[in-house]
Amino acid sequence: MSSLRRSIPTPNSVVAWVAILAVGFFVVLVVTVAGSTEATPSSGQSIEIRVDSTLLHVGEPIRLEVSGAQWLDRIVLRGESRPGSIGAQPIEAPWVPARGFVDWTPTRAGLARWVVTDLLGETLAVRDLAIAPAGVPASGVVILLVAGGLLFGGAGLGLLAASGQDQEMSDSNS
Amino acid sequence: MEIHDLQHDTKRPSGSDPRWSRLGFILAASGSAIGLGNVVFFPANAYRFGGGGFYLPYLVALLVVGVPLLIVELALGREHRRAYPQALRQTAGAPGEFIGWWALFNTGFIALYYVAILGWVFGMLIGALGPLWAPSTALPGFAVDSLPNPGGYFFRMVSGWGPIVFIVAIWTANAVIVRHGAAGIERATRIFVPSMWILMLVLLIRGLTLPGGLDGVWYLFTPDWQSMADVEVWKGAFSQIFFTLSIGFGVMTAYGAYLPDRGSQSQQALLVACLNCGFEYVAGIAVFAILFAFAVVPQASTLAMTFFIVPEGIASLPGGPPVVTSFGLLFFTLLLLAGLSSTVSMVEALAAALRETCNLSRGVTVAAICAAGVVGSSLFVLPAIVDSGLEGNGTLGLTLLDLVDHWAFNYGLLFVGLSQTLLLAQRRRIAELRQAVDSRSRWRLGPAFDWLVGRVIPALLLALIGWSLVNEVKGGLYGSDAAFDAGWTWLSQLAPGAALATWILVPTALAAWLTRRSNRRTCMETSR
Repeated sequence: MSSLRRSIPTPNSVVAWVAILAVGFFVVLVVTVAGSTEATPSSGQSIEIRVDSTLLHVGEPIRLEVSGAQWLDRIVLRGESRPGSIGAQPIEAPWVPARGFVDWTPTRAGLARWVVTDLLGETLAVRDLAIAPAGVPASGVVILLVAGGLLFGGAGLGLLAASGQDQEMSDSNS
Repeated sequence: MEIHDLQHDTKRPSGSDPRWSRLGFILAASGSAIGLGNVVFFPANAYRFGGGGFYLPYLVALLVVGVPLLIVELALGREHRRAYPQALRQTAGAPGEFIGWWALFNTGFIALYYVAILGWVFGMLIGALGPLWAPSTALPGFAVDSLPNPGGYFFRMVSGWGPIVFIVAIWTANAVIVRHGAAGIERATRIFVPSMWILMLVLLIRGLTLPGGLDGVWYLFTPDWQSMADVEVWKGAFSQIFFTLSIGFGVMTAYGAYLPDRGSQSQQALLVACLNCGFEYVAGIAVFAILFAFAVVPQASTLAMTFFIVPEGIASLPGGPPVVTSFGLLFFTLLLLAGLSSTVSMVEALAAALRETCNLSRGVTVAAICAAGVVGSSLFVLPAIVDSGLEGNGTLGLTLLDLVDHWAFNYGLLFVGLSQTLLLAQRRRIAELRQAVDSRSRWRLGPAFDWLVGRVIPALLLALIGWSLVNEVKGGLYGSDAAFDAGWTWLSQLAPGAALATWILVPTALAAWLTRRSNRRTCMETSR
């Protein structure tokens, strides 16, 4: 047993490793202050989808405007709620070329994708939006708390039970 | 109990190998369970299956299938002090050993492409020092001249030979750690697991403090009853639980063989499952907060989540290049540590079993596995561009990875879980295992456990596999509708069938050969 124990780092060495990791992280942070290029990728598209609000909530109307398009009757703006997920749905907000914008009142929280295509279906611009729920959803809070309580409570319970059993064993041995 | 140093004891079966310390087991088992599956696959699946619509089925799968099967796999190892095939042989005879070997070779397939993914993670980690955050990367050989990063950087990397070097490095790290057996794994996980928790907590705090980050949390946890009515969501939740808890890999039985004499597998299973899923809970919150704060839509693919979506969110972090670079390095380091702590468990499961059957030294066994691993993983990083328009997977390696992952992950793990429970039920061994676990625990599992493991779980798994196969038949062979460039179109006819045949035949042939070898040895020992 002692040989195995000797080969395993003590808690002090674990702390040392964590400290090294933390120092490394901040060294990188400091070292990269100078000389880095701008981080945000850009789409480079001339056509843009503009939104009249930055905080989007369920039930609050927003206007999506297509800018930079030369011929509004040759493009289409379409939306999809929760794209790429099993609950993906097309958004019912018809594009009227004469207006150049779409008024939309989100009915579902989650991500939404708006795409400008030409009449052949080729994508010209994409805008992803995050739609917040109208308020704090009670069922979401309940699941968050229940899941957290179950998982971390379960881990704590398992640890306590194991410690208690060890204690019993050592008591009975002594 | 005298525990020996494995370095001087390379030929003994796992029955006399050193045992974990209690903390060592918790770290090693949770390190095995915590992997890429927790950090990126879980958020990707959670988004794909409807956020809150996924979380409740996931919790049900954890409690109904995850924890009970984890208890069974740990108890098998603890009772027999053997690796997975040998423990199943002692419990359920030669068919058990066959299933055990089949499971380990299925795990081998997963390890091969898992290391390939880790190789790319390594490449992205290097890229995170600078080039990954440039606006775009030129893509010679593709239909597009350049692509915005991080996608551009990723495809430039996978269409070159660099990842071969990275997978050699990953397999070497696996060899170094597993070479020293339980002691080596315990030593590594004592560093890896606490580091992973610290790095994940940093990401969590950053995610939650972003404006709008909390909305992502509500999306993850608010139940969507409409999604939950879809069987695909339940299949996704059960597959996630198998993958995330390392069930059906043979890993937990191998680790169970090194458990100390005292201690209950019901408590250990609960602890490991809760720590693992607790990590996933934190990772889900962190990733969803980042996705919603920057309105980044995750694609259906888990690889897209790893290499494009989360890095895209990190690239948008306020604070400029130093913050972006630091959090990029933090994220890819986290993935690398999580992945490595999982691959060592897969290598250990196979090494322990092969060592027992083939009577090889640990060093030779581990070296052989890792050498074969380098060759196998290289197939998944082949840089030939087969789809220059990036309509599908882009390179040959990614295409092969997608095909093998579909079978080994979606079907292999569920199939092993089903076979194992059916076999144990048919041989009436579940009650024996349960009584052995109960004898060491203050908690009693009770006869309901036998009914759950012997009846409910096989019925659930059978229904899920059956449902998937029906859809598979309806939709055509997976991958046969993929589009390839001229000169590579033959791939759509050949590759899907070849991947399926390889996945079925190679593990089956090897499992049959090794089981027959054990049968012969048993006959010789009996006749003596």
